[in-house]
Amino acid sequence: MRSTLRLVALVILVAAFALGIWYVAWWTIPFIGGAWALARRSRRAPLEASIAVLVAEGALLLPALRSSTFSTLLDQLGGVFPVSGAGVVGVTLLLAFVLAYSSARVVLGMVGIVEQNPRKRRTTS
Amino acid sequence: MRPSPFGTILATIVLAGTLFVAARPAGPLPALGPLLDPVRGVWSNSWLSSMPASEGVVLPGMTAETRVVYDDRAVPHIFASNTEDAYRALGYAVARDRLFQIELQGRAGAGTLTALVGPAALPVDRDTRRSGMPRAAENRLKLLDQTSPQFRLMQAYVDGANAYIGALAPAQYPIEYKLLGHAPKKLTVLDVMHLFNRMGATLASSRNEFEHLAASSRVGRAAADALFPVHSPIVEPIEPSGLSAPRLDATFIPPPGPPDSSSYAMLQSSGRNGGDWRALNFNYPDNLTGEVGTTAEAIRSFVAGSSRSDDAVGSNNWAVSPWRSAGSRAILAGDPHLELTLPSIWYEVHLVVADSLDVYGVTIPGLPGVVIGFSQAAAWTFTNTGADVMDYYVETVDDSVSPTRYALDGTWRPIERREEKFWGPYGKLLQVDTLRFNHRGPIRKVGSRWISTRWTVLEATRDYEAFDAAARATSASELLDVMAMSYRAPAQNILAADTGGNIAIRSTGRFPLRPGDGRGDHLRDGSMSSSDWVGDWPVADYPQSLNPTQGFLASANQEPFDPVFQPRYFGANWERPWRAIRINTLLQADSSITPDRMRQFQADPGSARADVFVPAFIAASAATTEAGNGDARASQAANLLGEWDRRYTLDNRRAVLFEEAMRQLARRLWDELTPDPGDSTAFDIALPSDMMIAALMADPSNVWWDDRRTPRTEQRDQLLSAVLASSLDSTIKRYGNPDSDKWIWSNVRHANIRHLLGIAAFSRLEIPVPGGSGTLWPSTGNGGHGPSWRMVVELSTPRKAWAIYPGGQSGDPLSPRYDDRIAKWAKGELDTLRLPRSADALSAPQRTAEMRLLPAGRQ
Repeated sequence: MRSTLRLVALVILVAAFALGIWYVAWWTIPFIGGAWALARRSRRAPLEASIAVLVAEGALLLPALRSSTFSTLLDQLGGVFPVSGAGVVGVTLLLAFVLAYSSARVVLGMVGIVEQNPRKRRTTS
Repeated sequence: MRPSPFGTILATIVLAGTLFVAARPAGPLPALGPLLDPVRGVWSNSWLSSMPASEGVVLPGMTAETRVVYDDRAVPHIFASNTEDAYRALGYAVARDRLFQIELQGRAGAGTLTALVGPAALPVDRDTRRSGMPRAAENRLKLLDQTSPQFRLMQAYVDGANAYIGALAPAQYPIEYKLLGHAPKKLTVLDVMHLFNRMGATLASSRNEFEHLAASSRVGRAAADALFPVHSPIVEPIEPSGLSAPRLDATFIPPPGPPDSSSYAMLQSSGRNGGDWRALNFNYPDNLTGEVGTTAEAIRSFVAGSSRSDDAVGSNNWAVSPWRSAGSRAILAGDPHLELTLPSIWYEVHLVVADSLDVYGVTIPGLPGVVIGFSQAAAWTFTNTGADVMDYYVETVDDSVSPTRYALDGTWRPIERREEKFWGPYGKLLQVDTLRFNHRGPIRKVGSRWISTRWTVLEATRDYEAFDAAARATSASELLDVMAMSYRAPAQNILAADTGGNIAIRSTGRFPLRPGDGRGDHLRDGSMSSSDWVGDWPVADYPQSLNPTQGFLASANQEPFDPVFQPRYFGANWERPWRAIRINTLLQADSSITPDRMRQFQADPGSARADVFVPAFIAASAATTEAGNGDARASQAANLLGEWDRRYTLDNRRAVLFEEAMRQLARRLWDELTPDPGDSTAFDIALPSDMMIAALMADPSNVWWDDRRTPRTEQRDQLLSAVLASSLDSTIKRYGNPDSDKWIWSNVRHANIRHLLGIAAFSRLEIPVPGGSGTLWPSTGNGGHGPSWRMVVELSTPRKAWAIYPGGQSGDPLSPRYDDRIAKWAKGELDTLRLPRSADALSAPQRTAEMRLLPAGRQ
């Protein structure tokens, strides 16, 4: 039951990342990653966020991957940037991964600091 | 367990750094976040690059439904119920396929490229502003009658383009915008004005004054006058003068004289290598540094366009009367040679408005109307006239550093000052220039003097009317007449043919009349109003011809008049006549011409230039051998050239030797014009064309034949023979022995079609093409120029037409329509054009998509 709930939560997280990127932009990734860490308050939160964002980005990249011009695009991007086309895909995923992981980790750390210092927490609240 | 503080700090640093990299451009790289966004970034271009087979779009301003049917060559056929709707649809369709190009073209004319591509474009933007073109465009816009039908057509076009831009989601931005980190800018009528100016900068700027001055400073005025003559020594005019073959007018070239001191003084202190003078005329510096790959070089090339001397810039056109054609119909062929870019300068389109307009041809993205094409009644095409329409004046000013007034007829007149600001991509101010203008045009400091420029391009006002008027003309002569009424610059040799069997040509534009000797290739005294232009040539005096008895008309940028019949100054230092001679030879030899023969002529590899010089080289080698001064290497080279059919075919193995010989001949013959080694104060001087070498052939003992750097005194045959020997040596050194495959022309000469930003991945490079210097398919220099739109039209009923350009209709590098025509173009082939009379006339295989543009309120 617990693992099912966790799976559902992860699916929701993937959907949140995908919807955020789809309807708003890439910069929603750190906000959603941070929010996940705040809600989860678990050391696993950064890894979960980063895996979820990879799944979300992968899903969003599917239309591009399935298009007949994708390999041409990879070749062209490889000509524009100092890395190959596949490398550009890698950078795309890496960027999302790092944003999700680091934002979740930062929030987790800050939550930990606040919870270690309840008097200050009460004062500030 | 509490997360470690160290880990939190590290994560914060990583997050901040990643956000910084993702949100801000870093050096040549755009901001990675938006660029790699899977929905709005570059990835979306791969799944948005295809066009739906059918769609309806509500277009504000449309008065009735307009159908845009795309044929199997991706050409939009626009069927509208009125002309404004047709132009609105045209703006929409062109923006859809060429949006980035439209913005780049407009910015190039406005001198605002820096805002799009960054500081790399600053030198070209500064030159553009200094030329006065942006100011002229603004003035022209103020003078426009905004209620006129022509203005409304321009506005409709702009509205159509903006409707497309306005509806674009970031995911749909062309990939260039994503790479530059920009959103598209909306089009304005002012941008259209800028585009007209850009055409002028490409085709109607000249630097005869500078070349003349520089040559005078080295070899004296008399020799400079002869080397850069007002009239071509080889006469093959556009306006037929009864010649059945080119005429060589006896030309004595005086020996090099002492340097002209006043010319030398004028050039002194004018920057490195006369840079201030060169800068007067779009001679952009070569040392631009790029931000994204070779963007800077590409921008320089794109903006400078044709201003560099290269005969691959120039054009051919010709037409034959019905009695010379196999089908007893007039046939017209057009072939403008321009810079080759991806996307192409041209976009193919068909506009149909019931009972009033049916025009097919090419437009320039951003410019409303069909520039070259044909209607139901007539066809037309251009070559550049190259008349002198740009003059320079030495001004007297009140302050040599920061003048506020200039002298005119003994009184001081105020100088208009204009502050020009140059903005970077993110609103950063890069540069502020103060420009000055007087009644002639821009005034710029050249060395210690202030020089003003008068240029017809800055004074044109109604050019935008010309193309729509041409599309409605009912005959060739009416077409030329309506063009002459409104078209001013850049002057073009407009060739027309009609279904009535008429052919006609007229060099059309504004041609200034000058006081005194009438010449425009010398600097004039700006302190007197009597130096100013005194009027314009009347249209009746323009170079022109209607239905000549020879049964054909042709132009290839050569001097339009036979100076025997029209000696007045019209320009100087004309384009070499080799292409004109070749066209006329081919046309004269065939009195049963077909459209396919016209196509073959366009790709003809024959060379009138080689026909003149190869026999001369061979004869010179034989003569020196006979005189006992023969050189075995020269004889071998002569034999190799003798094996050549003098055609620049892809598989020929001798053009490479001939080209090397011509290069060396020019350097050794005109050695008096080249700076002595170690003379850092000397200027590079453009060498006279090989037309002058041909003229000098008739004077074998002229002292110019002597190469001063050798101990012996050469005459013609000795120099030609020596050049042959040394050319063979250097060709073997570079390409191996004459049997080597490296001598094959297709391994040596290529067309290079570069993307507008110079991005190699979007370019198509090293395409083997036939042709060489002075052939009908000109291929010279860096391969960046050449035939840009080949068209053949048979004026039958119904019309038949064939055409091609090196590129494709789409500006999207991912589209199969981006470069789908290049392979056929490189083979010299043409596509058969689809010419439907109605929106439903195309058969299913010929029809690939349809867009219905609807008035607001309809769906």
